[in-house]
Amino acid sequence: MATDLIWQSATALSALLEKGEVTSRDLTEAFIARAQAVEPSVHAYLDLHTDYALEQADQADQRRQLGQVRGPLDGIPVSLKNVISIKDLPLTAASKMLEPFVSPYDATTTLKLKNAGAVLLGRLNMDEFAMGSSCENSAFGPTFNPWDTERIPGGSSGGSAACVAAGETPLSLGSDTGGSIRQPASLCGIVGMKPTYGLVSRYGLAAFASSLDQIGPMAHTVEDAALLLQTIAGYDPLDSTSFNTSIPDYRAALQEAPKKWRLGVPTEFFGEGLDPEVKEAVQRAIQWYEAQGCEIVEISLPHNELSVPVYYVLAPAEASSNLARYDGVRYGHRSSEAKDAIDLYFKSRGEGFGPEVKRRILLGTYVLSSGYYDAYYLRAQKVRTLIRNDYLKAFEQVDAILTPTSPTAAFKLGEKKDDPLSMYLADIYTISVNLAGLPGLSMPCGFTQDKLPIGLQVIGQPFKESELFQIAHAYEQAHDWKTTHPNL
Amino acid sequence: MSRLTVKVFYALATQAAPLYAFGIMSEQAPAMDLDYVANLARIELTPEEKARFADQFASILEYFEKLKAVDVSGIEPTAHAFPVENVWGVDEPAPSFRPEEAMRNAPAQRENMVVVPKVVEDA
Repeated sequence: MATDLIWQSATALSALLEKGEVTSRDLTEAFIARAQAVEPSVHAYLDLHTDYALEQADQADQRRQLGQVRGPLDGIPVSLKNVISIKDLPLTAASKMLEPFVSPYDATTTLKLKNAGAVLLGRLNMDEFAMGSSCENSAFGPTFNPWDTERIPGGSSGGSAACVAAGETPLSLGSDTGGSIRQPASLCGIVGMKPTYGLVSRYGLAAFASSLDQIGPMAHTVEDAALLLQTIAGYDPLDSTSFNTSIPDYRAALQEAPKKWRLGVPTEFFGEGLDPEVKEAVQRAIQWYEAQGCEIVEISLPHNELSVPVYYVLAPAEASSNLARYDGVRYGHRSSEAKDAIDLYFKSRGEGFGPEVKRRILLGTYVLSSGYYDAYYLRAQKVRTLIRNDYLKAFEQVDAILTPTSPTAAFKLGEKKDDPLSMYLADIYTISVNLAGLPGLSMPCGFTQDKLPIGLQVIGQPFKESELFQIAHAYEQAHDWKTTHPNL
Repeated sequence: MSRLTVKVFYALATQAAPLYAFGIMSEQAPAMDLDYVANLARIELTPEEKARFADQFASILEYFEKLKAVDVSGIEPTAHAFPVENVWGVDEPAPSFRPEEAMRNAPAQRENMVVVPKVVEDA
């Protein structure tokens, strides 16, 4: 029974709850047992809060008995990247800097999940402060890819992707600044979605690069991702960049018959650096859409190759400002070696931050410093305009864009750890989507010969998540990639 | 202070006095003065970190040179993907943290105040 449960979609589990075939406690116990069995080899969780989860599960079961069910997520386990705050629980962002920190309030997404009756199962590993593409930058040790534990799960939401892929939770939340949901989803063979910038509140999300960060769903299926997004999306007065727009019924949209969409394929995304096996799998997916009557349009996004340098100027610049708050004074790590007040800053930050976070703060400080601002920061913001204009122009011709999510399948642990630039290039197909503020989704589209998952990225128009889900759902329904699970 | 003055000041303040600080860019990527930047960022670096970062920044900055080849004349900068107007909050009192909640994560405290090293000189 328990092994049947762990591979079900959240939507299927919700139906089982509704029919009274299982209780939320059954589900929660099944996922806890699974996590306890596989965590020694996956390490997706930083914190599996068993008692807290079972207490919520019992409350959900009680509501169901009383006929007070709050919706389809009531009683369903969801795990959160450890960068989204849950009141009264530790929030570390996988950093020594926040090791002693306890959240004084709920993130808006957390509050929405609580109100929907979701069972918050645990907190997931990640690259420190969401900076990285392999989950190796966690101060608490890496997460391992469930498909091959010698390989990385991707990052920064590596724990969020690995725990779904390993059957340790049906749903998780990640955050995506340059590909941090989509790239690990691709490398772990699950669905991961970054919403349009402003659709989901960032209140209570530990900030990395505020003009790029978005929280998004990670799941086994497109429908589950739609279900989870439905719950967390919406205007929030506590986030001034939150967009005041009505939220359509994403799952209802999936019931509509597939359309003959016009789908753009950017030539620049299929050139040098793309692994041949990934290329072939993505091209097969594109051919499938064509066979369904979709029009495949060759498009050009000529400035995409500049998205990596633009991102690594802008994101560190924003991070250097956002992370200035970690000064050892009011919260977080405080050095015990400091001689005076200024030394307290230097030592607390020197001891608390890991190497990649230091690199990004230094890089960001440099590009904002006097004499370099125009040459780097302002120029990068202008190139960002060109990147965004490329997309706007493409969307005059097409409904959505199909690309690989990542140039390669999961790489080995340690392979790129000491070469930040080669690590940065792992995000070449995802970063421009954040720079342009667009929604993007990664879903499985095959395996390499070594049985490593390959992801297809679908990029949509701003606030047209419904259409993005429809396009992805149509492909997913016709393929059975999700029926293969990792051997752990 | 004009921008040029600032640049000159910076160049004099950092002993390296690099030409690029005057806006004369060589074809090679400029080297980062790591001590100066780490001081601005208030991060203490170990000698090993300095050595490793210096090499890594050199290759990253060289990669950034790609940006200099782009014609951006007449292009407006994008700070945000969607135009965000100034958003004003309603100026109304609302419940907030009790002092002990706000102080919960303070590394050192006394009577609901954060304890910090002395910041004033002795008289």
